[in-house]
Amino acid sequence: MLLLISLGCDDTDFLTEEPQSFYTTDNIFTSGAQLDQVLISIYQQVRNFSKNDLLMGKGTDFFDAPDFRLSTNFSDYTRINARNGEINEIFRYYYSNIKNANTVLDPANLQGEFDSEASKNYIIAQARFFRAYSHGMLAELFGGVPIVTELSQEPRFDFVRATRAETYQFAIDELEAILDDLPETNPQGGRIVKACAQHFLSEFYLALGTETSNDEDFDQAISYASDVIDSSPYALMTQRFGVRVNGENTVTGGADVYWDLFRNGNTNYSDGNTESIWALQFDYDAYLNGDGSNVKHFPGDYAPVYRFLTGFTGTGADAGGRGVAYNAPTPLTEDIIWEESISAGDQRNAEHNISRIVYYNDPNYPALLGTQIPQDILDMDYQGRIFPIYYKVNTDIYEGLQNGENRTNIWTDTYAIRLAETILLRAEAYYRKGNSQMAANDINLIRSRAQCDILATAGDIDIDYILDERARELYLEERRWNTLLRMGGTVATDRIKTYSLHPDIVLSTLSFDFNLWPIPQEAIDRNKDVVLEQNPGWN
Amino acid sequence: MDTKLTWGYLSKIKTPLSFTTKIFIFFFSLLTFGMNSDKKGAIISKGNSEIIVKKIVQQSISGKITDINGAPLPGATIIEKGTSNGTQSDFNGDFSLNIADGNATLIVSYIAFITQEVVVNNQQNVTIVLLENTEALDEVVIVGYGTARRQDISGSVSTLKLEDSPVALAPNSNILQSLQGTVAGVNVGVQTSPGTNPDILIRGQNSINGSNDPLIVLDGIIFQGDLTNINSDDIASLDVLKDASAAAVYGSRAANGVIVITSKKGKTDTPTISFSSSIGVNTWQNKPQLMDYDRWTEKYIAQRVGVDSPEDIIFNDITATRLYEQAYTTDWIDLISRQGLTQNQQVAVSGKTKGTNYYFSGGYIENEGVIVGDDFSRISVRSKLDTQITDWLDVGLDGTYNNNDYAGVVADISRAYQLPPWAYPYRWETMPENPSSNTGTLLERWPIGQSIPNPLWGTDGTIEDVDKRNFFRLATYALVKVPMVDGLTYRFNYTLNSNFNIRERFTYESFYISEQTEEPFIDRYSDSEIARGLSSANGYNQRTNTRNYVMDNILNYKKQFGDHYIDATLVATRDYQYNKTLTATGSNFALNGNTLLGVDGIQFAETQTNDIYIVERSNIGYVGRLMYTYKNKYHLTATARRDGASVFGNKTKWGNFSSIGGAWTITEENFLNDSKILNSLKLKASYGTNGNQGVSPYQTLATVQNGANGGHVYEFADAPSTLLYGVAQSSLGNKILGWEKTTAFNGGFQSAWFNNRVFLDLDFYFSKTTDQIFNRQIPIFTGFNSILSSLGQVDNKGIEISLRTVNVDTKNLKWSSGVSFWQNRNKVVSLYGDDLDEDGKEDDDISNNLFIGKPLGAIYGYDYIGVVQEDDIEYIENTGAAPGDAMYRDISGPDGVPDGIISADFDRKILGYRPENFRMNFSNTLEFKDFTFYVLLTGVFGGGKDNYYLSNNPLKNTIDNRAEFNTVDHDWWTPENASEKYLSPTFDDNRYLGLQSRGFVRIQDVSLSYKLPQDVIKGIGISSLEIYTSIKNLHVFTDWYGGGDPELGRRALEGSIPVPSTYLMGLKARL
Repeated sequence: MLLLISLGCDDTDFLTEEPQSFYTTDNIFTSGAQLDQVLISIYQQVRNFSKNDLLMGKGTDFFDAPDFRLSTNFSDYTRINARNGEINEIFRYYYSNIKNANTVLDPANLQGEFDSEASKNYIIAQARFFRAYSHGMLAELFGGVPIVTELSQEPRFDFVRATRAETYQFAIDELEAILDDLPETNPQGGRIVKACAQHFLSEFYLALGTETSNDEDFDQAISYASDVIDSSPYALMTQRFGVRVNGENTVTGGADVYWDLFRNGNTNYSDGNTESIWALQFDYDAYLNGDGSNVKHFPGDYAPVYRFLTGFTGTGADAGGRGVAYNAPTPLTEDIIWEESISAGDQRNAEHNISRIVYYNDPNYPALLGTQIPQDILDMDYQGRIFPIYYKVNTDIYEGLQNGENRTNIWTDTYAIRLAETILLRAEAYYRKGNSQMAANDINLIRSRAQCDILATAGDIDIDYILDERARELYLEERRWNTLLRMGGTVATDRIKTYSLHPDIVLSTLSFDFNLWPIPQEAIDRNKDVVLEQNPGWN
Repeated sequence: MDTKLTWGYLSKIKTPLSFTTKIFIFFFSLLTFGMNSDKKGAIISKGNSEIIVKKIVQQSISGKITDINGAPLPGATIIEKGTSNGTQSDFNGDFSLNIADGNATLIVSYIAFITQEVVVNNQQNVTIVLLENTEALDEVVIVGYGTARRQDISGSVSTLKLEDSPVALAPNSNILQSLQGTVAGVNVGVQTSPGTNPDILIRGQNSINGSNDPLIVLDGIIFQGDLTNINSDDIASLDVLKDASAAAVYGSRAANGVIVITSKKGKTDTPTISFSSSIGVNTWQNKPQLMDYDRWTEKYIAQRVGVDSPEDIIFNDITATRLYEQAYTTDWIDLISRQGLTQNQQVAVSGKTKGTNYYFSGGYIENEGVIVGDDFSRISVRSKLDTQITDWLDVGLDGTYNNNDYAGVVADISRAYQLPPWAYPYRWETMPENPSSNTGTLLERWPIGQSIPNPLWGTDGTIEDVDKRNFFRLATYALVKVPMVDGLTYRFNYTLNSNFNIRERFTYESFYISEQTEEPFIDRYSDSEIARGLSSANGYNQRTNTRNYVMDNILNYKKQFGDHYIDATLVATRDYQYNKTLTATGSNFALNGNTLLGVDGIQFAETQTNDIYIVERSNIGYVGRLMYTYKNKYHLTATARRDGASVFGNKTKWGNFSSIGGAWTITEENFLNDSKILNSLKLKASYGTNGNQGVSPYQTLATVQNGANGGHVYEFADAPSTLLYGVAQSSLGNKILGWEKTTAFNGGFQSAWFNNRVFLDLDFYFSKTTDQIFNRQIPIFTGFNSILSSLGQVDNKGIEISLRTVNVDTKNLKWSSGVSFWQNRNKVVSLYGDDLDEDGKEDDDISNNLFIGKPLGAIYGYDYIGVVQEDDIEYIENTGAAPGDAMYRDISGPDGVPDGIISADFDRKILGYRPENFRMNFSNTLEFKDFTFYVLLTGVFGGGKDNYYLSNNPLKNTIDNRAEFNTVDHDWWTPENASEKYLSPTFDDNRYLGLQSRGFVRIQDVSLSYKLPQDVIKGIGISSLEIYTSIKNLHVFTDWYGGGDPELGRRALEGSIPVPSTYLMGLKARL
């Protein structure tokens, strides 16, 4: 009897898996709201990777791990190759963004309900923006890569590399297609707006022109940059503004508009900052509320270890926080670009922006206490522990101390696009097109704002000048590897050989001039049905 | 089915038979006759039934079958010798049988008893006393969904008897521990932490990525629970089904073998009340010796350029420098370890009365591990009842309740290795000055001022921890002897397991004491400073409910037809598991201002999250098995099984498995029948396929991450602290993922020699496991990392030899020994089928250490050949190595010959393998008068030409050389003392693995027990009293370097809980 009951049950039904406490692709995409949530995931990934020190320029002419952390440096070309894990991580990151964007754009997923046609179009436009952006970034760093426009339903092993120009062109076509679906500004600060697409159109046209030597591309680069610079709500900030408009740096004294640009609460367009086109969002309360990735360890990672000096103790604001110096500036970003001959009057090098003066503070050394640490002491060899405090990535007022935070972290938003960079893109496009005067004019927009005594002339302008100006304006802000690698030729390796923090290591290990990173071996190996060519010189 | 028995049964019916009944009986007789192969039965077809009845009632004998204590033996088989005429004793041991004449001989047999022949000699009524077979458990073997006579078994089954065996005296709180080193072919790992399950592997690793755990069966029913919930003291015996044929009946999940656990039951008519009690200590033997203050200083100086004397030592952190200068030494390993107390109290009442067998037990175990805070206790209650309701219906009920308590914060062992000896564990008024003046024992969170917290931090009440696991099990069955078909039974099993686990943890604000940055440091412990941690205070309440059921329908037919014995089984089974975990988390109590309610007050936290996770899993199986034996000489078992499992893809849920096995008992043949030397010899062979579920529930689905625990969250500037949750697809689904299949051949023999004084068994096997489930890496361009796929094959082969001898057997002295040897080899036959380098051979998967044609567990790397010395000028020039570094063999180069350079492409090879070469054990039981001494030595052996059983030892010291960590005290290379063994103290290179053999011989169990003589205890109303002492892990003979246990094989710095040694005293009493 029981046997019969048992046999009578429906076996198929009994064995069917129906998840009860989580979602699958079969049941989640019911409306536009869920697709917008996919965009949230992309926004978060972009924010989290904005902290990636390799993307920020580790190993370039910007910064590197100091001597006492040599095992983590990015100058040793016996370690930098197709099997490098950090490069692989970045490669994967962009394809993960592409996958998420393709999830939004999957026709099946777009079947659900949307609030309006306009909201649907904006969701699609953001997804296409991120897909274009990721392909463009890959093209800058790795050259031509497989262009992926569909969400995988099952594994494929036969991806084919497009050329670098094709990859740029794909990104350009996509961005041009969505311009009308993006708003000029968005009260929900941090969302993609039209100027984001225009900025990257300028950048990718510039990159494409550099790759193909086609002047028309430079024209396009100039045109799209001009759309942002001249006929959009965006404009350089020239007056002090924001939450500390009347305040000064509490450690060094002094303040200016450049300092204001990097203060917490000043970084969004909605904060009254018309220079901010796209800011990646950080917020201490959000961190407390459970967004654990919403934090930057910059006062730790990019600040010096003054407490290493006899007579100096503690990890207070006077030391730039609890610095552990994972990264230290190169001679270029610490000194060379700030030489008096070029930077006289430059606010960007003012003590309140780059602090080079420190005072003894250990009560156990009463004779020293309160006196300035002499330059010859600071110049001694501490294996890279001692260097200036860059207030761009640091602060004088730390959040969370009342809750036990220890001056390692900061929650100020990061610029993904600041108008100053758009202007420098246009300057470069003008220069590449042969119009040095227009280039100098653009650069002087930046230098005038910084109150520089010395302005650029048409005769000054060359690629190195542009790269130096970018370093002055965009240190720890731009994606330096992208900038160097998209220049082509030997620009990247020339700069690295000249300005690396570890030039001897670079010279003894760098055996060829590269202008593309290696395609990760893993990406090549896994694509078993089609051979993907490695970039020249890497193996 | 025997016709005469049918008539015998009918003859008892007193009421006149109706016509239809007679007709029915007639046809039924014909029907059963058709199944009768006995020649005498042929008469029926000739004559009429009246004649036959007359003939049968010629002579009848009745009687009773009992054991030596007079207890009746129900179900004993009584057969008239030379015929197929026979019967079985009823529940009271009574039988009656019609026999041909008064000179007949009866053969009486009963499982686990010695078969007797009794000459009737014209008696009408006999009482037959059967003697228990000393090898009792060898006679009956659990085969899954029933039992079988050992003689019929063609597969490979090992049995470990625990009840009344010295093996049971060992302090094994987990039932698997009694299998450690005792059964050939079974590898059980060490248990380190109380209340945990050791690793177990039967006949090698079959599955690369799936589970290799065997299936556990308790009293005939699949046990879907934590083995900790099986009380070792309730267990009578363990059977390990190792080969395909034995395990086949559990086909769906039997690819890794089956462990069948049989619990104790009542044995005597009068109730037996037994007590056992033991108490002992766990200790950490072979503690690693870390560097003391002076050695630490010496090494620190040696490691750093420009530091030439202790005076030069200045740390980044001023507190550290000041503490160091005061030269106080702390032994951190001592501080986090202890002598853990262990006790075990058990009481059981058992017995059997007319129709009922009962066993009730209750127990309490408390076990403190050797690391501070590693505590476990268990209360267990069990009641088991088997009742015969009518002569055709038996029912049983077995109920268990356990309460396990794992609460406690365990000291952080790796921190104890990391802290330098001059770190000071406690806080005091004037820190960091003058630690030796301190008299308090309140902990300091940062013993060196910053970075490394106190390993005891959290054990001091700054964390509250609750971990209670309640377990309920109810196993019921009904056994129906189908009327009128002798030997046909139907059994219905239904088992319900349920867990209710309570997990709670709360980290108070007092946990978050900041590092020593602003003096006076003691201020960090002031109330106002502690209150700053309120925003970090957090806790969670977690409730896990698990329930699962197993439902078996078993139809069994067992019958002897003359020389033919048939045992046929049909099974329909299904099981279902449901697990629901509910977690409520709260953090940030800054606004609430206090954490007075602890974990019960998380509803006052500013951030609260809830998490629910539900897992379901179900399986269905249909089984048919036929066992056939001819003349007790030739045995055949065939099994077929069809299985469905919910975890697989929609198209691949079902798998078919089958096996066949045969055995030949040579000693039943006439030519060997009377051999004085060889008492028994059975040859056996089996072949079959079993399945393994290499995936977990839902792994074939395309899942997405979303919501608060999806990990994707962002905020926009209009509401910067409002979390917006993202969605991301996290995996590609795979609808065609199915069973891993293991096909195995087993061969061997069992034998008894020299008047049953020597027993020698041998098994060998070959198996192949195909359709391995791999997490296959897929192109990055898809945005996904991997997908589960069925690929590849792993082969295993091995040999198992067991020898048992009774060396001395006299009245006062009995000495028996056992030796087992087993060896397994496996081989990766294929992986993904790729040949990227186009050399015509399938590619290895170096990143996962998988090599075609080589065993699993390969260690691939640079071949360390010694220490670079100053005169190795060429090597230094070519490789940039410094004297004191590790030197590696230059195996080859781009041109196929050594090029002087050490490179990843040309100078790596397989250095050896992590699995062992072979294992052995050696046990001795010595009984002298009332004393019993038992010792078990186990050994795991490495080496061999392929270098087995290697692991990293503490000489691999890259982390400790880089940081200011302490480490195992050993010498180092210096220019003055150019060691050939030790490396330079600054050496830091992950290519050096510090590989060493883990081979060892362990005195695993020693026990001595004394049974008090009857005349002493009789007066106080006790029927038996035994006192004993027992030691587990007394000593390990090994070359393993740097302390710790070789079987665990971990480096000290990895911070795993050590293997304890346990010293125990106890008594067992029976009323």
